[in-house]
This record gives sequence, structure tokens and C-alpha cells, in this order.
Amino acid sequence: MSLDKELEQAVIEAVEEEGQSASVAKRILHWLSEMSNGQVSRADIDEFLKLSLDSINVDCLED
Amino acid sequence: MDIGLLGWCSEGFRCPDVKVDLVDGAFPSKVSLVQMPNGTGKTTMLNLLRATMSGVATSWDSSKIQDYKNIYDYSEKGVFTVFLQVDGQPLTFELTLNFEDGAARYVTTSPGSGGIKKGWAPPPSVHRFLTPNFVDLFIFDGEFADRLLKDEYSEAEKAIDSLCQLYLLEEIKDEATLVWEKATQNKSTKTKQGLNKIKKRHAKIVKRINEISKARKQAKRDIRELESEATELKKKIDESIGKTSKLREKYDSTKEEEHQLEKDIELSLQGVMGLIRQPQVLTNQFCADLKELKHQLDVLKLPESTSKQFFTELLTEEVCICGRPMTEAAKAEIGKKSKAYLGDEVSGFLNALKADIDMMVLEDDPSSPNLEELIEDLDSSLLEKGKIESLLRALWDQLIKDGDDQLKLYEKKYEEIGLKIEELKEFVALVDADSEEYDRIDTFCLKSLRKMEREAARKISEITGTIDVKARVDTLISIVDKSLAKARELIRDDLTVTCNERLKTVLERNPLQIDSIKNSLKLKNQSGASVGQTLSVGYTFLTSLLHRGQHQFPLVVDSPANPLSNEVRKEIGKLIPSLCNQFVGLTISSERVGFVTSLESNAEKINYVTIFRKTDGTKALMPEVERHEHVESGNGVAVSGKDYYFMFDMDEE
Repeated sequence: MSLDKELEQAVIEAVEEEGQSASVAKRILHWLSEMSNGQVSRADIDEFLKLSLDSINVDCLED
Repeated sequence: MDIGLLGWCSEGFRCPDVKVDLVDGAFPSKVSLVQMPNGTGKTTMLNLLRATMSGVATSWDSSKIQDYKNIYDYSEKGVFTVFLQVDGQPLTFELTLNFEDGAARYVTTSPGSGGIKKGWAPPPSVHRFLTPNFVDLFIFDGEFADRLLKDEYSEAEKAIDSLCQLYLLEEIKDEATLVWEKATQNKSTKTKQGLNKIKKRHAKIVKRINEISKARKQAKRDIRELESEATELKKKIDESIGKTSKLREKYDSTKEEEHQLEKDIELSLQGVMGLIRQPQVLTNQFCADLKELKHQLDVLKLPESTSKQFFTELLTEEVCICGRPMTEAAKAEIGKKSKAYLGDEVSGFLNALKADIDMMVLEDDPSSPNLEELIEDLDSSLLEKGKIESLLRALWDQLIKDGDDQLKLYEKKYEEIGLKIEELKEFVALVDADSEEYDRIDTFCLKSLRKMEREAARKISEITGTIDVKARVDTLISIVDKSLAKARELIRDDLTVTCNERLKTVLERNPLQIDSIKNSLKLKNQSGASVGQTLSVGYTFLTSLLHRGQHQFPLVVDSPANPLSNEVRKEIGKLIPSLCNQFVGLTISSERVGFVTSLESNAEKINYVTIFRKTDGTKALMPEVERHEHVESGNGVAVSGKDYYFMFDMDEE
């Protein structure tokens, strides 16, 4: 089941504003979509969270 | 997604056992009016309808489940079944509340998706539309539409969040926050400042290690060079000192004497060390004790090499040596205990010990060396060596003194080099020493510095990991917050346009527009509106929202016209058929006036059902009921048709 198109657009724009790559939006949207379909176990949530956090690029440690 | 409500069936609850059909041929009836007098269990029926569709009852506790029990005619369980049609396919949920064990159980039947399944298991495609929040938006009471325009309820925002699933973003945020809390448990330093501090310390330690390592390398190189220089100088000094002078001869012979004495000292030392390793030589008391041990072993006649064999043989006897009969129990006990007595290995050891004591202690060998004498000899040799060294030093000084300026220069340089080498060796020893107990960054000890460096690196790694997680979690939360704000704004803007378009048609004669949608709906150019206008806007908003993305849902409204004046009822009755594909109104007879007539004139076809409980008071209704199409159960009646619907005149049971 697809998500509300405005929700998808909002996630894509927010990810872009945060200077993150499109893969972050892709992973968050996949997570939202699976939750929306009601087929998410505890292990799935942990995996989605890990994938989403891993895809985020942080430069805070460079300075 | 097109969800239609085909009907429901109730059995064993507070509300009457009835089956309600909302079909028109093979499809959901576009408009259905279900008339139930107050007190018949309308609220119970609506709550069960919501719970059966949304799966929420599994979270109910036992006391809540007991609330649905039939108080008139107790049954150990109640079964509520909802028949849906999703995109033309049937989908059935059956909820069973067991009043005995207080449990709620579901069965889902979906021929197009998995058949019969235990539990509440809608197909994934329909799952999001059947969550409790979502279901509350299409099964509600007549006052809900009014609340959409009141800021204090925030119903408009809640509706948008539910229908567009914005609450899922909040769930992601909660999970991200949990990760951060877990990652920082039991860690004192979590900040960038803390990381910078430990990084600076680590850099200092590394710098110090590099400096000390470099200095050590240089010191070793210097030592080698200086030692080589010293050897050269020593050679030159030797060559420069008068070889034939008497003083030189005296020096050389004394040097030879010193050499010989050193050899003697080495031999004496070996002798002393050899004796020190024999404890019986060190003290007479030790000798006496060993002699006593040997004596005691002899008195005790130990070792008795055959002791173990003795017990083994004893076990084969019929009578013990004490005269008692050798029973099985006695044999078992003796067999067990015999293991504690001496075996061959222990006997062998004791025999060897006794022989050693005889040989080493008891035999008094007059030719064997005496430790005290050897130590005395060593002492006098060392004393002699000291004297010779002093003499050699004096002779050497004299030889130098008698030499020329060049020799004196050599000697001075030689001494300076010697001091320098000592100094460098002390430094290297300090650098190579074992780790110190306390950490201090100005230490010369490389082992300590390396230990400090490892600890600082470990901390950096730990804090870096923590800060990395924090940065990621913060970014994710920020994305979620921004997404939520953006999605709400986009959906509100889109809904405002859609609603205003529909309102132009719906309120054709009395146009009204939505200015903005925040927590509630804000009307354009006016602070208030009539009840009819308010409800019209509320229903329009709700149905527009429900139908976003081309989705269709049944609108099930409890008492849709009850709080309204006749005039407003007419407006709402006219509005409803144009808003949704399926409308189910649960009414009482007094709502018919204005509302039903208006609805009738605007809907193509209406499905009428009247439900009442079978009681002594309703017995009188039965003869008339028999003349209409009806379904009767043990405690309730459902009568179909417009005639009976309008004929029924009972607001309270």
C-alpha cells in the first residue's frame, strides 16, 4: 500500500534540507510503508532503524 | 481502495442478537438508516463494530470485556461479525469476547488473501485504513463533525494525522530517541566538548611518546659513539703513558694482581652460592629438624610398603584382624578407606627422603667445605680488591700527572665522556623502566606513556561512537520533525482547496469557505457559523479527507440529526448523499422529521432497518412486525423496509 503522496514528498524534502542523500529518504519511506502495511515486528523495527541511521552522513566528528 | 460495509451480526452481547444487512444486490447500500430506540444497545453495537474492524479488543482488559456481557440473558461468550467488501472482495472479521476467561479473540476471513486466519489479520493493503484511529474517523457520533471546527479539540489535526498516517513519523521518532538513550547508558562523557578534551590529551601523550622515543634512540646512538670514542682515548692514554718507567711497571703488576684477585673472588663466590643452596648447611636447627623427622619415620616404621596390599588381602578374609566377621558392609567400608592409606608412590618417596637425610645430614664429612670459612675468605678478598683499586687509581693519577699536556687532555676528555655515558645510560634506564603506578604525562617512562595512550584512545573510540550515534539520531529526529510539519502543511493546503471546491456545490445557496486548517477548521471572513454550516463544513472536510487518494469509506454516524433543528436537518440530509459512497445512520424515530425526508429526496435508494429488543413491552409490536420482512432472534428483532421504519414510534426502550 502506498503512502500518502504528501507524506512522501515531505520526507524527501526534509531529507534534502538536512543535506542527506536520497537513500536516507528511501529507507525512511520504506520503513513507513512497512509500518503502514502492518507487517512490522520488533526485529524489523530494529533493522529499519539501523539502516536509516547508518545511511545518515554525519560530519560532526571532522572538526 | 474502496471499503464498503455489507453488514454485521451480533450474538451474546448487551445489544440484541441481530443480523443487519446493508446490501443492495451484491454491493453495499449507498444510504442505510438503522433505527434503534435508546437503550437498545446502540452504543454497544457501534463500539463492537469499531473494535471488530480495528482489532483493538485484544488490548482490552477483563473488566472492559465484562462491560459487553448480556445482563438480561447471560451467555459465556459474545460473537460480533462484520462483513466488509474491499475493492469488490469480501473481508470478514469475527470478534469473540469470552466472558469466562476475559479474553478477546479474532478470526479473519479473506478469500482473496489467505482464507481463514486466526487473529485480526487484514490484508496488508487495507491494514492502514483499519487502525483504531482511522476507524474512529468513519464511525462516529453526530457531534464529531461539529468538534472539527473547535480549536480546543484539535480534531482536525488529529484527523489529518490519522488519515495520512503522520503518527507513523512519531513512532520513528520514539524509536530513534530510545536508541540514543540506550547508547548513552552508563557513559559519563557524551558531548563533543568531552571528546575534544580527551583528544587533546591523547595528542599530547602521542607527542610525548614520539619525543621520548626519539631521545632514547639518540641516547643509544650517542652511547655507542661515546663508548667508541672512550675506547680510542683509552688506547691513546695507554700509549702516551711512559711504558718503561718504574711507576708504569708498578701499575702493570698491580693491575695483574687485581686481575688474579678478581678470579679468586669469582671462585669463592661460586663456592658460597653452592653451599647457600643447601639449607642444612645454613643452620644447625634445620639439620636437627631433619634428623628428628627421620627418627620419627623410623619409630613409626614408615613407610610400610605393603600397607595397601595388606588391605587388599584383608578384603578376601572371612574374619577381620579385630575378630569381627567380614560382612559385605565392612568390606565396602574397608575398601573405601584403604585408599586413604599409603600407596607405592608415597612409600617410594618416603624411602628416598630418609636416604637423603642419612646421606646429607647424618654423615659428618670433615673434608666438606664450611660456609662460614668460605664467606670469611670472600670478605677478605673483597677488602683486598678495594685496596688494590685505590692503589691503581693513585698510580694512574700519578702516571697522568707525570705525563704531558696532551695526555692530561686525553684523560680529562675520557672522564667527561665517562660521565656523559653514565648520564645517557641513566636516561635510557628511566625510559625503559616498568610502568609507573600513577599516570603523569611528563613521565619519561615509555611503558607508562603507552598505557596512557591506549586508555585515551579507548575513551576516544567510546565517546566518538556515542557522539556519532547522537549526531545520527539528531539528524533522523530533525528529518522526522520537518517531514511532519511539511506533510501537515501540504495536506492542509491541498485539503483546503479540495474542501472549498466541494463547499461551492454543497452550500450553493449559502456559500462558505475554509480559510485554513490548523488544529481546527478556520472559516474565511467569519468567526462563527450556523450549526448547519458548521456541520456541512465538518462533514465536507471529513469526507474529503477520507477520500484522499481516491479511497472510499463508509460513513457510519450515530444520531446524525439528533442535535439539529429541522432546518439544519434538511441541509444535512441533502448534503450527505453527495459526500460519500456509503452512509449508515443510526437513528431514533424522532430524527426522522426533516432529516430522513430530505435524505430520501436526495438519495436514489435508502435501505431501512429497524431494530428493537424483545421484551414484555415490545410484545405488542410483534403482530405488525409479522407483516414485514424481518429476522427474529431469541432477544431481538430486525425489521427491513421503509414502511415499518416510519411506522415505528419508540424513542426509548
